[in-house]
Amino acid sequence: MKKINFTYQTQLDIGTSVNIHCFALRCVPTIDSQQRISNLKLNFVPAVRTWTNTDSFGNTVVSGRYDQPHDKFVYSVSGTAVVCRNNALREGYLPCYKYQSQMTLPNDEMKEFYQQEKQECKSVSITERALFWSQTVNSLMSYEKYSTNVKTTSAIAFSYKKGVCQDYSHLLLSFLRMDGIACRYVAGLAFCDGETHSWVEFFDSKWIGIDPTNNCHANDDYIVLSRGRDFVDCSIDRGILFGVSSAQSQVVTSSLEEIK
Amino acid sequence: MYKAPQITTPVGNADEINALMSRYGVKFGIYKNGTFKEQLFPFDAIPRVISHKDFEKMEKGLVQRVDALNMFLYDIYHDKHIIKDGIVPEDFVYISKGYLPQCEGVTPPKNIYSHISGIDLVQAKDGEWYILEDNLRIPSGASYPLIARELSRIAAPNVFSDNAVVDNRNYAIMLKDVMDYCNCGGVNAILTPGRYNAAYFEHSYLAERTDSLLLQSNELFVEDNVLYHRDYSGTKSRVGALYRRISDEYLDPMTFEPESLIGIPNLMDVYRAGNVAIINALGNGVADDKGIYYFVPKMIKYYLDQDPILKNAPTYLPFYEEDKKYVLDNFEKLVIKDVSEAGGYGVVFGSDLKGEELEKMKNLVKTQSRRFIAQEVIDFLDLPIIEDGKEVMRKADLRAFVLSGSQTKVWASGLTRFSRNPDSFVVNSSQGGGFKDTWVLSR
Repeated sequence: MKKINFTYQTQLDIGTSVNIHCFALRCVPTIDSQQRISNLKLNFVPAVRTWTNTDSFGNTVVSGRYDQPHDKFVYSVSGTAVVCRNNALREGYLPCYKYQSQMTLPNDEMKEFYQQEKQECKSVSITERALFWSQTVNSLMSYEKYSTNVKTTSAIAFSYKKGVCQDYSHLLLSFLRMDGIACRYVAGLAFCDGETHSWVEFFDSKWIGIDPTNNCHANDDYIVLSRGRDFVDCSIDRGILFGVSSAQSQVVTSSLEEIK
Repeated sequence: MYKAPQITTPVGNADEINALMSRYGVKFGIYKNGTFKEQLFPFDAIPRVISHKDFEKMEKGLVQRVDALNMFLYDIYHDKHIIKDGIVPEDFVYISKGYLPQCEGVTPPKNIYSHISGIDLVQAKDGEWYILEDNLRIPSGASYPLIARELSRIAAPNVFSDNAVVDNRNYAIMLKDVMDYCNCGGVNAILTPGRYNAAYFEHSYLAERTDSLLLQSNELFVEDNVLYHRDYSGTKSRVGALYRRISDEYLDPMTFEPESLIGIPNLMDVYRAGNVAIINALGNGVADDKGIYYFVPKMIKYYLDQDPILKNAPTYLPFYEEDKKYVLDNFEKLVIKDVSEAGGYGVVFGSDLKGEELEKMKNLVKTQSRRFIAQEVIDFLDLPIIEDGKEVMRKADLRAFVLSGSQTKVWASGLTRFSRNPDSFVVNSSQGGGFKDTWVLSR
């Protein structure tokens, strides 16, 4: 069990002014049997009216609409998470997690690679197979920042053989689903490189978190923000701006601090 | 031999009626090679006649079918009993493009998913009606027979009472009843993508007739899980029922296609909170998937414990090995349909394929078997139409409109579409077909 203070902030600079800004944020950590959240603070500049829902994947979604001219938008979330990955997590199973999604759909080369590699794995245990595929993805790929973007599918990442945590996760999801293992994408915060992180949970009578980028179990160092079939279901920030501006830049910062 | 009740003389003057419809803007638009073209939907003045007895049976069968489909949709997005009990294979549901996991656990107001169902039927030469397709997303076309009847009535007022034809002017009342029944508080509105949509005429016509607001997305917004309309004076009013004529994937850029500019951001929040009825509900595509069609008779048995009153066209799923073998062995007598296509696209008659094309198609069926269904070609009953002043016989189908509100009701009319090409079975308006008035006799 670990107790972690977390902060996450996004600052959006929009250049010239926009008049309407609608958003849906998945930046508030989930509350489940492995994760408790306290002292939660959510702040918006400029101040904006928001409302909260839980989506079909069990994620907290903060939605809002700001209809005054603005050229900057900042939101931040902070709080304390108590994480205990030893507790069994069984919530939120959906049958669609067994099937490929938009971002994980394998191409012929991936199917061929899968057929070859699976000969190497003799185990029938779901957990052992999942670890095998995590190891496979980890060896196949090399980590390179900015080599891919948010629209990169697992098939494209497979052809590049390089990418970031999102690509590692998508590839692992592709192989696990080809192998008949139900699995989901996880977006969150972790003590590692990058402002946000992503990993995978697979279902073996309970959810087990695995991080293919670092080829390890997702332990108490990982805070879950959202889960879904792939990145698209989990994007921390989804928004639409109406105005004349086209340029925008985004600065994301986060920090984690363990409380002993 | 079955003998269909027939009127062989045109009711009113088709040219005049077509000219009036053109003046009123009764058109539909199609995109071809990237350009938008508006064209008339040619009207033929010889009505299709459905006997009282035939309609009674059809009505019972359609109500039964639509009730089962609504129960299926609720089940799929909640407890999934029909899958757990092995009636519908899981793959067919979760691979379907129409299945939306974003709708899991969301219950639409009054549990109704398909408020307006457009069920396509054909009548075979022996008089038997067969279901060809269920359309549970945004079935269009009800306004064409409505306005054609209105004009025919002006042209020949006595014909309708002399022949005991059931008045079909109640469609708008039926639709308004459905909207009022599901309304979660606020006004009724029809959401249109705008005048460049293929069915814009219908959107405006139905808005006028149901006394609903006709709106585009920029006139609507979401705040605190409530959908509002802001009018020209800046006044905001709550919307309780939204008959949307925009497909699921473009409806809310915060949940679906992020680049959609014709949707309403965060509409899904309002729907999830139970503060608006979306007509038809989101995610219905999983039930009108051509692959799921095969299972509808089984659904009727499963949910209602009844035998299906109306038959499906004999259908094979190459997904099952036994069916695959039959399909490959009998390719030239079957019609092959791509389950992900609509509007008459992706339909291939095995008999039309030769040589390389035939092999290519067979190979696709072999390797991507989940993508296709195959059906026996039904020998449709031909209907008379007037072409260049002469009566000729053409293939036709019928889209029946079934409305689900406090009760499930079948509109005693429908859209009869015919193929203008004598060799074609494809009757879709987007493929250049025409339409007729559909008479249901009251005795």
